[in-house]
Amino acid sequence: MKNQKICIVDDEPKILRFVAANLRSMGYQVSTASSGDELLETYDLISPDLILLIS
Amino acid sequence: MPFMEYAIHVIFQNIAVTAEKITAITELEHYIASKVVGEQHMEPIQIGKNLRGFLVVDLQSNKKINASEQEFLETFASSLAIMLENKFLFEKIRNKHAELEAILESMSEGLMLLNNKDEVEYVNEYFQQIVSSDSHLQLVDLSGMYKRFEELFLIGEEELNDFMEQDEAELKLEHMESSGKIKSYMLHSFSVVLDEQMIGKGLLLRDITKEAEIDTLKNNLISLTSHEFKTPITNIRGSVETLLRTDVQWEPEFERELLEGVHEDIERIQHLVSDWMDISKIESGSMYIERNMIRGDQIIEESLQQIPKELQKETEVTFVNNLQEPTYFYGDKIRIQQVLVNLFMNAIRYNDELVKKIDIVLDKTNDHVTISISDNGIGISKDHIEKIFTRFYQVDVTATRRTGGTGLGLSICKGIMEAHHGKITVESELNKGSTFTLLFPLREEEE
Repeated sequence: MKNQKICIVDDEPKILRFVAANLRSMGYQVSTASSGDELLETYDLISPDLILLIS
Repeated sequence: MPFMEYAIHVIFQNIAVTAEKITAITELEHYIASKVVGEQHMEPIQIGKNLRGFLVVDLQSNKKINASEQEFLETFASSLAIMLENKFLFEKIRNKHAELEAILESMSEGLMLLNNKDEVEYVNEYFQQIVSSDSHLQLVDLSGMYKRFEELFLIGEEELNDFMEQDEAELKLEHMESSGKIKSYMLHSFSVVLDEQMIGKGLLLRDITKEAEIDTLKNNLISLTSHEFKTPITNIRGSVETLLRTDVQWEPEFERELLEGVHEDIERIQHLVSDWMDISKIESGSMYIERNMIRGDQIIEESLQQIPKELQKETEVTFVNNLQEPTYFYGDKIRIQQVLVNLFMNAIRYNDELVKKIDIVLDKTNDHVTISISDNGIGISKDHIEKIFTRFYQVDVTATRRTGGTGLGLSICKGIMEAHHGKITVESELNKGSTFTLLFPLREEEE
């Protein structure tokens, strides 16, 4: 189990779902946020190693 | 002395003029017979090739005129003809001029003409109206015009100068009205050339607000729809690629979730495509409808069935039928259902209440069957209400994504109603709700 945390940000839950599943299958810890605001709110709690903004 | 005793009659068209009086005549022979006493000499008055009258000399007691007198009369008659011709031409030109002036004054484009000294030679009513709408300033020269343009269109003198220096140019201008509405204008300049000599410059000011608005809406729509298509396609592709991975064993539940998502998004794309096809049918005037006998209460009931089950749960529908007896009208069943379902869905989608109410009333007026659909939804503000049926218009670009509509629904409804020779109207109050009313003609117009 890798210990890196990735936070994925997108407003489409379906996209979050499959991207998260694929990253998890590769051993990352994944959290999701539906907007930039939500990311900033939870940022300190998660302190992700990588933020993936999907445009 | 020649012509000691004589009388002269100038007969022109239907008027006879003598030294004493002017008479309107109907018949030339009759007039001559009754007025001319002695021997008469008649000299034709000709304009071009048209005989327009006679110079009649009543010789009274004299019997004859000699050659030089004859020559004088000929010259006199032709001088008269020239004088009259000039007067005709002058009047014709004056009328033509008045006509042209009227055209320039009443045309719905602004026109200004400047002479070579950059003085204003002419400004028509429309130009004056646009440029000096809020001040009664008269435009007298170029610098006056510059000043007004700088104030109105927030344009720099340099840009105006550049524009004016070119022989032919176009300049797009915008002006914000006190109401906050933006008006767009196109200013064209052209040289006025007479006999190969430039005698001045013309400026044509055209209101292109409508075109500009449609342009913006179109651009908005294109970028919006690209996004609308992109999201489901991205999901379909990502989900399918995820499922195709052989190196991972996914939970069957998760696989099913992805497939359901793919299924939803394919439906969504189909919905978008069919809405687009409807729009293009309406735009090209080929929205044809089948004419069946439709019973109002039946089609309402049938359309209500088409609301998805999960939405029906949170919706409270009341249907009041004010018609005593079954009333039929002509219409395309599928298209009318499409309109009704669209309005029902809007009533539910644009509604933040816990219990979403839809009140339907079926009624008729003298010439129409009316179906009105009221909701307790978010309502539409006054700024938007005029435009919601406009093609390419959307109240809130982001709202459609949230709610899953394509944003084309109401313009399609309007197109379908127009194809039925009917109408769709709306009344609304923000945060209270909206009422949409459909009017179907009761009797088919004679075609």
